[in-house]
Amino acid sequence: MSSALIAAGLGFSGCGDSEEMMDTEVKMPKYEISITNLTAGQPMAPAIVVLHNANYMMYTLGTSASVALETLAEGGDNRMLLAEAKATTDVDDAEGLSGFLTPGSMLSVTVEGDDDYLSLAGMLVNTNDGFIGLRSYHLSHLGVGEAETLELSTYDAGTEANSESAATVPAQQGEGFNAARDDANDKVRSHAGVVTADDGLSSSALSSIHRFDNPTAMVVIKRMQ
Amino acid sequence: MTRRLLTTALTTATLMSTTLMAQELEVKITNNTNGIYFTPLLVSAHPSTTTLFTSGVAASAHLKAMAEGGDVSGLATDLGTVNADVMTNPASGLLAPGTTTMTTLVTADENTNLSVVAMMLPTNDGFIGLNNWKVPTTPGTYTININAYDAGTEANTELIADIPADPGTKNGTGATGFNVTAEGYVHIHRGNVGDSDTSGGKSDLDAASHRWLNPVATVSVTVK
Repeated sequence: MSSALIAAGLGFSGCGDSEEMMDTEVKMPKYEISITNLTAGQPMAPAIVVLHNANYMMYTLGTSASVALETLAEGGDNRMLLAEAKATTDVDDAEGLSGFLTPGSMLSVTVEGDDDYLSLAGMLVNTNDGFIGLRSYHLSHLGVGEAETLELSTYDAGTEANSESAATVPAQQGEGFNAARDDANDKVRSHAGVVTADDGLSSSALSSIHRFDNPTAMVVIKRMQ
Repeated sequence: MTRRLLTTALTTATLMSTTLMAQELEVKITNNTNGIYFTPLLVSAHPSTTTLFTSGVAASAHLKAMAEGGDVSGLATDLGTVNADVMTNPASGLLAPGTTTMTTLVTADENTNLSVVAMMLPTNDGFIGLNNWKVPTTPGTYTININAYDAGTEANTELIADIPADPGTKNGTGATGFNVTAEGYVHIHRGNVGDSDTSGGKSDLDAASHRWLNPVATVSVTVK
């Protein structure tokens, strides 16, 4: 990214005519990512949106989650994933949403760079370790001004047993991240949904309003420039 | 239509990529569920600027009437005001689980987008929704998976008294119902909970018959 900026800067300094400058300026691709929470009762903790190259993998289905993803999925804390993404040259831009995405609401964030893969994740806070995910979605077909709508599925980080107890679910005043991996199957996978006390799991702190089906979020990707 | 086609032929060379054309569409709708019935369907081609609902936004009164009671007349009237092509009730009644219905639409030039809605029975305010899908101009058959939405206008009590009917008669009675409120915005339906108690329990719906997972319907569009 920095080399492209320098090149653009040289272009400016060597050119006296402002019209010509406009013609020759190479604009860095920029995308507006708007996420809508499609659930009835699952607020989503601040999601992370990453623009990256083909080498970066936020998570891989069927393999163990990174500690950073575990931290996001169990406690809604995106800071470690953000820091890791920003520290690697495989990532052009990594941003967190400005806040919680309450059910039915929408938030947008902008990412910028030459890399053309997009990943995102955000915790469903009335779960043990469930999150919405988009993994390495290729953006190269999007022209300037074009937009695309995607529907997101829900994943289970596989790092915490889905007890649904008040003590373990953040939005039920339970704990967030715990380094112990007590899920019998320590692999990222599709989330099977919550059972809830209304369906007979008496130890669950959740009720019918917390149930969900996919898609749990809608994403509109608009290429701005 | 002949005149339109002639005009189109004359201008094809210059307008290849942007021209709007009248289309003949064959629309097949299949109910993919185990025990959910669809009320009379509304199938419409309309301008891209028209939308029957928006996720995250409160439902219109006419969407509410469709989702809570299966009445599509209000939505059909709304679509009439924008000169949409509208077909209602292609199945001549309910679309039962596992069955398919088909209809044909000859669309006006401006009606580039397709929407399909119908209430799901038994639910409080659940409906199937194909929302503002851009119809391809290239002839061929296109298959779309359809999700179940909740209109957000009625609490999901799952009491049969709050639901028009269970056409499959698998429902119970005497439940306490779920203590919930209407969500206030259109969203993906969280599904029926149900229970296995036909004379009490929390829900009058049957957990074995009345649950689903998306996609609940398949729409297959053939562009002639």
